[in-house]
Amino acid sequence: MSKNQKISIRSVLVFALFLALTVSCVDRLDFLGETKEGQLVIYGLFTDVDERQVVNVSRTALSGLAPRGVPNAKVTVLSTSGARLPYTSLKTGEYELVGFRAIEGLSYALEVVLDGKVYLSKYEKVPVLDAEDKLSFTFDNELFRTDKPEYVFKLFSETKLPDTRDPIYLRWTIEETYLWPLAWLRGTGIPPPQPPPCFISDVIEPNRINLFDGSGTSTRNSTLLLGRRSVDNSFQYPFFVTVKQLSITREAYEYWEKIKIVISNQGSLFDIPPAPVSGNIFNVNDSEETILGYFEVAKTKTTRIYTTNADVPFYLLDPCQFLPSTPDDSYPAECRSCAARAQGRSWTIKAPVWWKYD
Amino acid sequence: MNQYLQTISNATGPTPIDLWQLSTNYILPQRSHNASLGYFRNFKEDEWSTSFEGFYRSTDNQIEYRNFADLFLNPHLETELIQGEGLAFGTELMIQKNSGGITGWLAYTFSRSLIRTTSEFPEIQVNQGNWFATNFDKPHNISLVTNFRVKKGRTFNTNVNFSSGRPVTGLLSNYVIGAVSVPNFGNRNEFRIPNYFRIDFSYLTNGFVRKWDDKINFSIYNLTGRRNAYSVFFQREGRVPRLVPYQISILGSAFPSFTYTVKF
Repeated sequence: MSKNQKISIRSVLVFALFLALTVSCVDRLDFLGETKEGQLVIYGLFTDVDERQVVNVSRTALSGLAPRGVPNAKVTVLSTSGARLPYTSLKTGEYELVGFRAIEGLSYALEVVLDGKVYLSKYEKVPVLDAEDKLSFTFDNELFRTDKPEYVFKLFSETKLPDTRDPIYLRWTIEETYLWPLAWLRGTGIPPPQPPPCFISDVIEPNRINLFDGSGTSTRNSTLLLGRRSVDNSFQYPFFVTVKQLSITREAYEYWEKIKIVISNQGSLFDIPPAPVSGNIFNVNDSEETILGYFEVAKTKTTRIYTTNADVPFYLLDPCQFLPSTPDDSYPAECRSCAARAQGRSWTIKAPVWWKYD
Repeated sequence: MNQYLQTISNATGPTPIDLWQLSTNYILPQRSHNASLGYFRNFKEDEWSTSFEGFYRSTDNQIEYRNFADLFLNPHLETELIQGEGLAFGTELMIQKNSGGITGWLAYTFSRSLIRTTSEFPEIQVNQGNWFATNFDKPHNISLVTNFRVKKGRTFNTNVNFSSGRPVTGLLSNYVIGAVSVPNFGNRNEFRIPNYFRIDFSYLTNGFVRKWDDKINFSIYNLTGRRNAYSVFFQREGRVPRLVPYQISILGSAFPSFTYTVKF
């Protein structure tokens, strides 16, 4: 081998080694996630029911899951009748209006004044039509959260639309409330007084958006699956499901349809390309500013159904059952405290007014 | 120049798809105006070749899909599309060595490919009707190919490729509406996937049998084992599910191969 050939081979090897050592693997895509914080998010629902009307004002945060509440805004709902109804700040970014409800036939808009800027929503008219919901449930053994089949509580609604050709757009929200009795602890007296039970509430499948477009269809009856939930010891005692049917405007329906698309994408071939979802709220002085969220008005109808452990197709063990031989501190925390059981969900020891069952 | 067949690229899934769409009553044929200019020159009795080229193309009726378009197996695809104007321009510089112990070339391309939708309905405009990068927009592209001839019939070859990552729609933040955790996506093609970089290496030598015309080739594809992103997609993760970006890498490690060739 000549001297020149040796130099060539050495040059090649050094070149290859240099390239191999200087380039590293790339495996993360953090730059594609959560790159912008501080965008204003306003969401409000104004219903025709005498209930607490709520508006949430927040800003997106890089941590994503917990947007920062904005407590210092001035929130007012405006009506085409000329009324201005101011909300009260609860200092968490939540604003409430008590004692007022939407009136059929009127239109409403939301005004939010924040840091000298005025944000206004488009006027939305309270829909006139609603539908009849007849609820039912099943307990099925099927795949749900894991690769193994499990018992799943499934809630259905047989929905009957009104006999009119006028368009109707529906959305449902589903909330569960179950009773959870705490353990009788000896240290609390002789004999130990019965502690008040907890009533724990949570949204069933929060990322499930139930929508129905009743326009342009001759079908008047539809059976819809509204929600699923795995069966656990929450079903030991009466378990109520509250279904709120919201009759909404076409614009609100289209907004929720887009939200449904962006949250449904699973990274599959059938995914719809993602896009920003624009709502109906804008900055009066700066049309370029993007405001996330929506202000919607709805005609509301509430339906409830309950189940007990007699409906559950397998035996449920009560972890809080009083046993004389069990020391107080041997009961799990969920048997001694409502907050421990609720784990961040809302709870109360006061039974809801509708808490009635046979 | 008119073109009656166009592609619609959805590059947001793990397996990007291209749909081919013929011009119809509703989808006008794409029309473009092209211009290019180049300068070529050889040196040292053609041992070295150099070239410098530039191009410019403007396009009318270029198609894009609308926001929230359902493209897959849709028999009425035209309802999901919007037309606009396109713009592509760039320059390419190339130096090539044609003879001697070391041959090969080095090429660098700077190019842009942009589009903006034009519609009388502002609500269906993509990115508010502003110019944005198409899926094919990769501004920088460098290619280096070298052949080291050690001896007659024995060569070392290297191939180095770099290109800018292609545009992709990314996530700005997550927010909550009611009880729903909603991903907040940015404008279309606002972000880019990581840059592409790959080095290949091969050694070619004569075979074992002198009488035959046989060759042995040992090569390593992606010598550095870099996990170049083939596609980017989003999946839900966590107890309160939120979208997280992922990338798929094809041959994301060094890939050796051995080839023995005999010519009869």
